[in-house]
Amino acid sequence: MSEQIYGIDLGTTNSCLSVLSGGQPRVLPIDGNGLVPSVVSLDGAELLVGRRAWNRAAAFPEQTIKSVKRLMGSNEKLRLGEKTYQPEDVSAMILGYLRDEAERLEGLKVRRVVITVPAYFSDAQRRATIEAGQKAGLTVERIINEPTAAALFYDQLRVSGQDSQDGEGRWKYALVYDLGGGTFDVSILRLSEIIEVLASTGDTHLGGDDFDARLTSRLLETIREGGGPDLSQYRPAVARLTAEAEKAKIILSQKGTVHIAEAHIPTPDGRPVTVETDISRGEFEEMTAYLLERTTDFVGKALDEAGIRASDIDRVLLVGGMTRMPAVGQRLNAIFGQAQRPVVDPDLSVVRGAAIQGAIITGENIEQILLDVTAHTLGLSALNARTGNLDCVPIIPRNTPIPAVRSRLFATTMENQKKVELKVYQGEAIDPDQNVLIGASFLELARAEAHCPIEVEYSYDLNGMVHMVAEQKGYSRRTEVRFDSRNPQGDDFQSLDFLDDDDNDDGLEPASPSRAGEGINFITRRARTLLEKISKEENQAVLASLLERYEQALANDSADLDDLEDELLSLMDEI
Amino acid sequence: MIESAYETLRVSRQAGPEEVRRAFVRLVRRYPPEHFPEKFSQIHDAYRQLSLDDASITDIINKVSIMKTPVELAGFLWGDRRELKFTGEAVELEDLEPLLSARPKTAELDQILETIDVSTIKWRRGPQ
Repeated sequence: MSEQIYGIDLGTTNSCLSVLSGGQPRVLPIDGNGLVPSVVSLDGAELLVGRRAWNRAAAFPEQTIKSVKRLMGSNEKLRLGEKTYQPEDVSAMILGYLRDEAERLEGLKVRRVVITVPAYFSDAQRRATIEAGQKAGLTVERIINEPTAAALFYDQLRVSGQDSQDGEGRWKYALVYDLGGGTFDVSILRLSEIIEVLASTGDTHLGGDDFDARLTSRLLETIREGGGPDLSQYRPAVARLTAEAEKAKIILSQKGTVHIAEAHIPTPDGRPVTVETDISRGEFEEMTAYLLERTTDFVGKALDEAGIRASDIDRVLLVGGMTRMPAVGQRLNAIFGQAQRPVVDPDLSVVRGAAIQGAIITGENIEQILLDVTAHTLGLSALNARTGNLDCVPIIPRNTPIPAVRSRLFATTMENQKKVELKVYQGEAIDPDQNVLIGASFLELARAEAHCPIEVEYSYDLNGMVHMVAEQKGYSRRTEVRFDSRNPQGDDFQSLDFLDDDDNDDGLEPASPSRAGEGINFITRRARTLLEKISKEENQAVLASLLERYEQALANDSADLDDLEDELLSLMDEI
Repeated sequence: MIESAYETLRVSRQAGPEEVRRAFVRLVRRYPPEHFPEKFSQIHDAYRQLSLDDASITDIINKVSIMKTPVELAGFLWGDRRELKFTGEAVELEDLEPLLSARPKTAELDQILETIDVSTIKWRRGPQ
């Protein structure tokens, strides 16, 4: 049995760690209830993380970093005392804290992890997340999308009969609405014997923080209207009021009105002020209506992309703490009145799903099969012969199931062109400038006529990473690039330059799948698990003998391996 | 490519959408992406071609519309270009019909094929 893989939800507001025990994901009770505030604070020389850091946030905003997730993938420098950090350094501190606490509390050695990210995270944001894991000394086995993780957890409840079933064998459409502390995702899934993500979209800068900010502005306004100073640029005051706003927001999910009375709000001139006011749920809903409007726009977009109607949705899963706001439920009811809303913990579904994904990777979980998709289009900039513009040409369109390999043919524009520029963009716009450049490279060419075909192939792996191969057809000039966040220009590419006169186009065919490794283990593991389960003796004997022959064929790499594999898999389908 | 999709999914040319979908789910359960990334890619490509949702139509249109030579087009449609026999005659669009008629929205694809400079297409599918 290989070492367990832990699931980590590295959230904007809270982070948590989960592990599968007895087939069920269990959240470790770090910081009490398992929800560890994603906050880092410097207390003298001591670096605090989690609840203790969060407690200092309002009083010592200058020495505290919150919501670092919103900066992931950027080059922003964060000051903490004398030192400056990159966002991934701060995330690494949070990950390190989770690892250390798991060991301290339960003696668990956390090394291999699955980390969740918003589905709409970009390539750079994903890479920064992997880097944070590496900096914390962890092996990041997989980056998975948060709404997908939540769906994986829900699917486990569903197949184990903890959710009402209807329509024998029919699939269900589920929508995951994930409004977290800083990010919003919406994903549409089809759940049958397999779990397919049909569409995924969102905004990586829309979440609970924006609701807090609206309430904070309201408090700043109240101070000004009461004859007080404008404190909107004064960080200590804003930090205090933000903490109050956060508390008020939570109360407004329970009660119709909240009374705020805070004295000793610091001001630049040293004369503290007081703020006292009542805010009703209605007022709060009104001032944040435009934020929820944006989320429902994305819901409509996701439905369009999945090619289904709102009335097709059978289940709506609410994920993320912000979904506790009653207005969220009301809006979704208006759209999906008929859909059931299974009760899943909005804070912990994602991390539980991450632990399940860990078990899928190790092969411990062979039942659930997940097909996730790309959230962004990946394209290449090329000259449009008709318009003369530089356009972004899609190679892997958004919502393509991963892993994906797609290629397109391009052509040179001039005779004896020396090289072609290969710029990889992420985004849906035709104008490359409106998309995100994720890497660039060159392909040096052999002398050839104009319109010489260049094949460009992109691969998108299960982590959402991009790999590009470009080839001058007929001349076998190739270049391969794997993009790296620390090296966005991708100049670690190797320019392979083998001339192959005998080009019979066989190179076009996809390589045959490797006979070794994980996949075969999966088949034998599945067969063994099935052997333990089946009751009919005759089936058992047939399966056992077939499995034995298959394993022998594997060991000898014999010629009838494919046929045996087919026979074995067909038999397992029938049992 | 479309030809070989039937083989990859192990369904007959007459297979309807339901049968194609069942074949796809069965194969994905056999070869999940987690453990068989390359095989999964092939299975999904085949499924996509035989179910032709909007995204795959766009993809086909994109591919076909940039093809310059009959060999490329044929290679795309039939996978194995060695089957082709150059005859020097212009291809008739009806020749593509048997391959395309089983699927929806072929009108769109036909339209695209019409925009290709047919004079450059001087080939006919060889005898099998």
